[in-house]
Amino acid sequence: MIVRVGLKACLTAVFLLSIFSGNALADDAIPSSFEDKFKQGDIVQTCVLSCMFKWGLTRDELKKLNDEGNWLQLAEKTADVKYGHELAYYFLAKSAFNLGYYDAALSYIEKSKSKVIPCLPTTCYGINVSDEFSIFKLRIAESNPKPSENAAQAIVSNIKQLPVPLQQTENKTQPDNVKQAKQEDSNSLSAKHIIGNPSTTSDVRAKASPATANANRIQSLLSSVESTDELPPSLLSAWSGAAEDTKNRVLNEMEAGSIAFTNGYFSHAEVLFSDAQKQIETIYADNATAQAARSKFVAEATKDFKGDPYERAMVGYYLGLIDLAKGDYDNARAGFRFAQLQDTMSTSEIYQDDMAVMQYLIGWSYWCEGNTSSAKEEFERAQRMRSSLIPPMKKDNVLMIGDLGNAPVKYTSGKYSELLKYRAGGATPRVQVAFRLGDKQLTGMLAEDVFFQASTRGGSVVEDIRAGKANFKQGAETVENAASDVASVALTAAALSHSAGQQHDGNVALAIGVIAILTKLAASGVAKNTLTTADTRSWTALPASIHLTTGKMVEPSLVEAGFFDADGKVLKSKMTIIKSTPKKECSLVYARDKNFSAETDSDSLSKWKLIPEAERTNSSTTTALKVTSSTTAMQNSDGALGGTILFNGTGGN
Amino acid sequence: MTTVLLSACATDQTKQNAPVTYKDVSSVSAVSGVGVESQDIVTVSDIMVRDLLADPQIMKMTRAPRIIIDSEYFKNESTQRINKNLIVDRLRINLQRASRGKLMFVSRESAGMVNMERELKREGVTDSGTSGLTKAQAGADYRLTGRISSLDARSTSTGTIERYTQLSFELIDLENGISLWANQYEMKKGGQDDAVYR
Repeated sequence: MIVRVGLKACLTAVFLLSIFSGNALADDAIPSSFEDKFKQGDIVQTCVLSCMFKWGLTRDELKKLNDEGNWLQLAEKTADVKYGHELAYYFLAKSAFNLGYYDAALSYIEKSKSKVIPCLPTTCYGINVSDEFSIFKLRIAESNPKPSENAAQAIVSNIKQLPVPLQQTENKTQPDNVKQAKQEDSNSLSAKHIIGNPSTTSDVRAKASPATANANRIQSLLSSVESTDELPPSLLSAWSGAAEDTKNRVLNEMEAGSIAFTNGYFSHAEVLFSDAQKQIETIYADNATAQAARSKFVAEATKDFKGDPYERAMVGYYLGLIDLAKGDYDNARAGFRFAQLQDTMSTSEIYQDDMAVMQYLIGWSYWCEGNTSSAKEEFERAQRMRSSLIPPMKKDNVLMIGDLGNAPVKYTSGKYSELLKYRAGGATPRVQVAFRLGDKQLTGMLAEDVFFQASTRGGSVVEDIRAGKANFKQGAETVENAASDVASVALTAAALSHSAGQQHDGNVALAIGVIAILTKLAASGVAKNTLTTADTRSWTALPASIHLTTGKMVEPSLVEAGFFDADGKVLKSKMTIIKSTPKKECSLVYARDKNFSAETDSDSLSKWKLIPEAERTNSSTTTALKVTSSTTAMQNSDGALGGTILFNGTGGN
Repeated sequence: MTTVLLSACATDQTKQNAPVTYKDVSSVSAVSGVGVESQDIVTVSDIMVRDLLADPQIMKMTRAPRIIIDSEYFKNESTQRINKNLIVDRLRINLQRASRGKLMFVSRESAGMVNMERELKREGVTDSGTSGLTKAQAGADYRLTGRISSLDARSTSTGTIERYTQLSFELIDLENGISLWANQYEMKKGGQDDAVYR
């Protein structure tokens, strides 16, 4: 018995040692020029069986580095393991992407196609690697305004001349510089997206034919739009590879809707956002994937995405703007009220229904209808929320809106990544916007801080679910550790008893040891398979802030947006998207501080004046918000602050 | 072999395909929220049609009154974006079919189209058709107005959301402003989203 136990333990130790040492002996030391090799996209994950154990031990640490955003360290440790797994290439690609090594990121995405071990729902922390890769490619394409000249020209020259998006009202005499600017934007966008996606435009539509009811949902939605605005195939190509399952349907529609909206394709954006809104409003009472996501062994990211309250609210924001542009003021208000309603999900009373921009836009919809008394009430309410929001002047008939900056970023925290936290998106120098209406320059007022909305939700029920999973996992690990100790003691006791000739005591101790080992293995499996990671899927195309102002409309060719730094100096300018209502009572001017078609020349910047200090947005402070919605706060039986919020759809509470 | 082993336990929970099938328009939707759904549109338009047909003031006029039923003055003041034409079109068409000539319907939405044709006839581009020319387009006697309003309540502790929706309709005399007929349809729906969404 002693010999058998001893031999078994020895063999086990030799086996484990061989795995570790095999790995250590077989692999080269990390080259001192690791970073260079990483930047070039030359890291290859070739190891399989001999690295499997080390991967299992290291994987959680890698995930932690991923969640904390330690990209270089993540890349180095992933390369160190060399394990040929889809998740490993995801870590490499994501690290490269976040460090700005876009070519390397694309290289790792390409290398992942020759992966050995694919991601499964229980082995990749619920990360949908294919979706994430699509987003990376999209963002790389958008942020690379000057793709390889030859490549861009070669591709664009093969495309039929893309139509310039028309304004909603037939402005047949569109000035040449507007047409040219829009064409440049359109062409540069098309080149960017084509280079980011291997699909060629000529066969995108052919690929778009859905094979099943769920396939290519976005493309089928877009194809259903009856509009004189022909959507460039390049805008579709970015989504041809997007996962179409229900899990990410709303997220894909949000992202695609943003692309359509910021490029002026309001009809297409409407279709996408409407479907997203419908899914958001659907009550998921008996939804299998939602129930599964509550399970301890299923990642939260398995659930169908609906978005955080701020993301749901922004769907209402864009829908409202689209309806404003159409002159459908009823539905515009419904969209903004939907946004306000989503904002009431905050547990903290202070942060409920505090989106000043929605209030202001409701007022603007009344203003355009000629209902000045209702408009006045809404503007006053908006100004109480955010004092910088000044109501329009008499006869103002154009609303100018600028979306600036990068979306809030979600990340996980906590021992088991069960806590969901937010940080501001990547900083940009462009923190303010102004609009030129002819010779007149109007500074945009800060109407909303999207990061503030994201980060001030307060507690949520799903946090309790995550905490429960984390406690369960910790419990399983405790059992595992305790069983390990018991096994160690018992096996030692068994060996000693047998060596002392105490056969019976030795056998008992051995049995205890075996049971303890089995318990340890079981608990280890349970712990490993308890998926606690919070869902960090997010709408990456959102802005960080919304700025607006109003004025009297002029000739569309004389309308321009300028983007300024914190000192009030102009950095870039671009032509805007202009939509006028059918009866021309109001116009909407929209600008996003992305996709600049060319470096703005000094001549075009010289016409912009410095923003006066009193009008500058101070990005480090947020105007104090006050609650104006009527809420009845009640304490429930266990003392927790509950609340029932009454929301009057007719406006004002 | 490793791949086979690792993928052996994989089950895809997300792909649930179903062929397209016809559904009863008045049935409760499988995908539903607390707002106005197809079954509500069917119900409210049916109720309003029956009520209008039963109103003696309207149905027993000596001359068939001319009515405009469209969405122009049908306001949406709720928190739900809705195509108002879904409601008024169903109401108008069912009323027109059921009234059997006792009511005449004026399509003010088509005024522009009618005007174009009238101009073609008078300019001699086309002939005058088979019904001859008239002095002007038909004027209306009454017009439908209405409003959709809602009141939302959300409990932050349980995540329950409830919405009270009221659809009100009125028939206004276009000469003197008198409200000839009025009715309303109200409903209250509530639901609780799964905990992972709260």
